Amino acid sequence: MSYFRVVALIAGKDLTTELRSRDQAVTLIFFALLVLVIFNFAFDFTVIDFRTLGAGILWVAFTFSGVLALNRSFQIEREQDRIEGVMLAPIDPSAFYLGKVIATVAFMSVVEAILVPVSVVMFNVPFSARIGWTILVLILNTIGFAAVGTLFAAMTSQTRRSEMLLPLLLFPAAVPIAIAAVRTTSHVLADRPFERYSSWLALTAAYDLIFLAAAVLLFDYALQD
Amino acid sequence: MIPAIDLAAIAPALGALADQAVPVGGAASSAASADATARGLRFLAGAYTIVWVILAVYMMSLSIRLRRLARQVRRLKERLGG
Amino acid sequence: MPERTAILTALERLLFLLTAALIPIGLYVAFLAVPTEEKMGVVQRIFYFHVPAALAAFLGVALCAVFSALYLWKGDRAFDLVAHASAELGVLFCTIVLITGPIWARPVWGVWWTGEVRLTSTMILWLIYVGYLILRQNAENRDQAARWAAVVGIVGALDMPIIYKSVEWWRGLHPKVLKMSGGGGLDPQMERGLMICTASFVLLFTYLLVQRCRLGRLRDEVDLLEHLTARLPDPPRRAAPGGIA
Repeated sequence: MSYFRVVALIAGKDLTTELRSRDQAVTLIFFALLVLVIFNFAFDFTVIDFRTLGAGILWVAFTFSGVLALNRSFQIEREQDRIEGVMLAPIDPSAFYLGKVIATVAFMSVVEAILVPVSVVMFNVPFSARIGWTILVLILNTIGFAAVGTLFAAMTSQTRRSEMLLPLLLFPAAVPIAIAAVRTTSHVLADRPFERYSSWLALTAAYDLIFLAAAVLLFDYALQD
Repeated sequence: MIPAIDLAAIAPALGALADQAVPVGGAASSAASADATARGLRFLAGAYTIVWVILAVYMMSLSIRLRRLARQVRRLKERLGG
Repeated sequence: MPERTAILTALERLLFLLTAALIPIGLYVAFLAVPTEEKMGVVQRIFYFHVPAALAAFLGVALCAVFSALYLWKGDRAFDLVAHASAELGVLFCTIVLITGPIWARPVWGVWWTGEVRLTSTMILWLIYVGYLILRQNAENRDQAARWAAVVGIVGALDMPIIYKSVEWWRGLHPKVLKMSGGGGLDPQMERGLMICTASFVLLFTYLLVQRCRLGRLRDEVDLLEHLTARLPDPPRRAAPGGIA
């Protein structure tokens, strides 16, 4: 089976399972919304302009629900004992990895697509961003987060303390994404010119490429029992 | 996500403090400069102490563990050999 | 071979002597020989162990990455031993950097944490390699720990320049009011002092690395021996005279 067919198969499997039951997406969206609500109470938005904090709040919500998505992504594999199957099958483990990354990015994108409009409403922000650029910014940063997250989640999901270990490893490693994501999202939501955030976007793209490549090479070692 | 201290806002205050810490030519009173030096020495001594405490604790723990393991190896080898 | 062990022991002894000699020299240089810095006063002398500690920490991280890659490639457990030891020492020296930095900053700039680029990046480095050590504890067996740690060790080292750059761009938006560096580039005496202290810290790092690797090797040996003794039959009970054996 060709490499890309395997990737599509793995990603598709996760997505179709989700389409049928929808429970994971609902949990993720709800959790992310909860984070927004907490921030709504945490700061006085009559005094503070949401636009200064908004991107940061959104990305806290995205990364927290992203960790949930990553944990769940490997938990279902374990529940159905599919990991051994993957290791025995003559497929490249990196194809499994890429499929998982795509599925995670898809889940996180759904959360993002819902949360951005909700935050606009909840915090009374005038929305002037260009949709195309917003989507690009969100997706590039999500890919970076999911790339390193999937690699680490493959390891931590095999431990007993997986919920604690994944954030412990992922958040420091994903700091460049965290910083770049908040910067770019903030600029793009305020509809600032591309030059303001083009270098940040380049950093994100570089991060994505470097860690996708590294993970493709290292995933086999992460997955082995 | 890492809290940012708005340096620009507190820069004037920091500048004043920095000036205080520095014996400026002969203009500052000797008492003030001696005070600053004493304070500096306290921090220096504190840093030095902490560094060596950390290193000493680590080295001691290494040596204790090494000795314990060497004893264990000897014991286990005896059991196997004997 | 006895000659080889003899040479190794001699080298180790030499390393110990060099380290033991250079540390007091470094201390003398840092506290007495080097002139006091003009602006910051006596406190600036922290620089002479803050910077070498940072270099030692980076050395640990670099060694960890290199030996992690070697371990994944060759599978030789000795490589993993060195990687683990380097990471642990990297965390140790990183801790020293993170403690001396604020102690230096407080009397000079009035704040404990300045959000300075290098210190912030060092804090993230510390977090990554503490994660490395914790992950090792949570693996099921020695081999899995080694493999997983190698993955994190490599990812961590790859990440460092990107983290540094992103923090720098982020912090660069504020005026560069504070600079941690100072002294080293200006006064030749200070530069020499810094080099001596760096040499002493690197020697200390090497000495501790050797000891820590020995610890790892002994642990492996104990595991192996315990495994072997577990397979031994129980020692035969002493039978009563004339009784059943």
